[in-house]
Amino acid sequence: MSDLEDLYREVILDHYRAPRNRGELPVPPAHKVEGFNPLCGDEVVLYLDVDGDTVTDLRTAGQGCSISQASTSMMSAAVKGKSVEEARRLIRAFKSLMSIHETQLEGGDPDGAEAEELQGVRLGDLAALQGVVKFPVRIKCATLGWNTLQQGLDEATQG
Amino acid sequence: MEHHANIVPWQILAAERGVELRFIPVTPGYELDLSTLEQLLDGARLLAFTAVSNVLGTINDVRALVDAAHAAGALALVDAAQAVPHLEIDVAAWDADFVAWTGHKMLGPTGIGGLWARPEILDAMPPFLGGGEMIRDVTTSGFSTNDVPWKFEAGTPPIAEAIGLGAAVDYLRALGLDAVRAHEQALTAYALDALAERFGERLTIYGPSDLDRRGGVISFLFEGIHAHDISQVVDEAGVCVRAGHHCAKPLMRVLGVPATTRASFYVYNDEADVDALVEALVRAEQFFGI
Repeated sequence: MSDLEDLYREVILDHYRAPRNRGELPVPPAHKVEGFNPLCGDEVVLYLDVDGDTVTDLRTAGQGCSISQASTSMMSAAVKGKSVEEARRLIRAFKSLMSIHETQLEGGDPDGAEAEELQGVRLGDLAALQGVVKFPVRIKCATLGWNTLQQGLDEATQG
Repeated sequence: MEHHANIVPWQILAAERGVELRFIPVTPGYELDLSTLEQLLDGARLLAFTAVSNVLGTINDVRALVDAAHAAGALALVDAAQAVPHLEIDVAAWDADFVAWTGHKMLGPTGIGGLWARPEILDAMPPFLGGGEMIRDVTTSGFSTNDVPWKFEAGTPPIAEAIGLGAAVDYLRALGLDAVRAHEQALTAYALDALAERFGERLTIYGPSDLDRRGGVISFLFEGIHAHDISQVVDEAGVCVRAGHHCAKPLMRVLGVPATTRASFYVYNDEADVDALVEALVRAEQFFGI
C-alpha cells in the first residue's frame, strides 16, 4: 500500500464524498460550536444536542480538505447517541492515535500514555485515520473536528 | 492584492500611531481597481503596493501607481519581492521612494534581503537598531550615527548570507532577467493551455489571462477537491506546489475561496514539469473520484 493510499483509505474517501450527519440543529436547544484551522482555512461547525449526559444528536457543517471533513463525519457517527463520558473517552483515544509516532505504526504496540488511552476503546473505522500520522502537517486536519467537539462538550455541559 | 508582509506591519503601525489604512480593491479581472485611486490617496502619506502579486501573478503598472502617489503628495513603496527575481527592473524608471525585496525568492539565502530608498529619505530616517556598525562615535553622554547604509546595519551582519545573495545576483545577471522572463512566460503560456485543454471549467485559474500582464505563478481551484488534497497527491508524483492562502488572506476573501493550489515556474522548470503537473492532477481527479 502506498503512503498515499494509507492516508486516503477508502473509508475516509467514502466519508468525504458522503459526509454523515451533515446539517444544522435549531439553536437553542442545540449548542453550536465552531472550530477553525487558521493555517489552512478549514472550518468545522458542530450542532450538539446534549440531554443530561448523552449526546442525543449532532450535525456538522463547515468546509475543508478531505481529511478534516471525513474525520469530522466519522467522529459524528462515532459519538452520536453515546454518553458524554464515552465521547470524551473517544476524543482522548483519537488524539492519542494521532500522537503515536509513525515508527510505532509498523509492528509493535504503542506504549506509554498513548496505549493507556487506547486501552479498551473500540475505534472501529476511526482506525483508518491512523495513516495520517505519516503526514505530520495533516494531523491538525484530522483533529480539528475532535477539538471542536471537545470544546462543544465543555460548553454544553457547563451551562 | 497584498501579501501579509505588506499589510501587517502597517496594521501594527496603525495600532501604535493611529494611522488610517485604506485598500485598493481588486477587479474581477484580477488587477488593481484604480477607478477610486484618487479618492483613496486623498490625504495619504504613503502608497505601498506589490509590483507582482504572489497569488495572482498580476504585474502592476508600478510607474503609474508611483506617479499617482506623488501627485497626491504621498511617498511610494514598492514590494518587489516577486518582481526582482523574475523581471528586469529599473529602480530609477519606477521613480519610487522605497523598494523592498528578499533573497530567498531569487535563488539566494533566507534571512537577507534589500531595502532601497532615496538617499535624502535615508539620511532623514533615524536608526532602528543600535550598536555595531551603525555608530560613528559613542560617549557616555550620547552617540552619533554612521553614514548610510551603515546607519541601518547595526550588529554583526549576516556575512555568509550576503555572500550567498551576491552569488545569486551574479547568477541571475549572467542568465539575463529578460531571458528568465521569456522562459517563464513561455512556460506559463504552455501551462495555461495545457490546464484549460485537459480540465476545462473544472479548474478555475485566479489571475490575468494576458501573458504580458502576469508572471509565472498559476493559482487554481479544482472543482470538488480541496487545495491541500491536490497538493498531497501531486506531491506524491514529485510535483511540488503550494497549497493554502499564500500569506494573502484578505485576497482569498476577495476571491471567495479558503485556499488555492499554486504552481510556480522559475529558471529550473521546463515543459516536462508542466506535463508532470497535468498528469498528477489527472491522478488526483481519479483518486478522489469526481
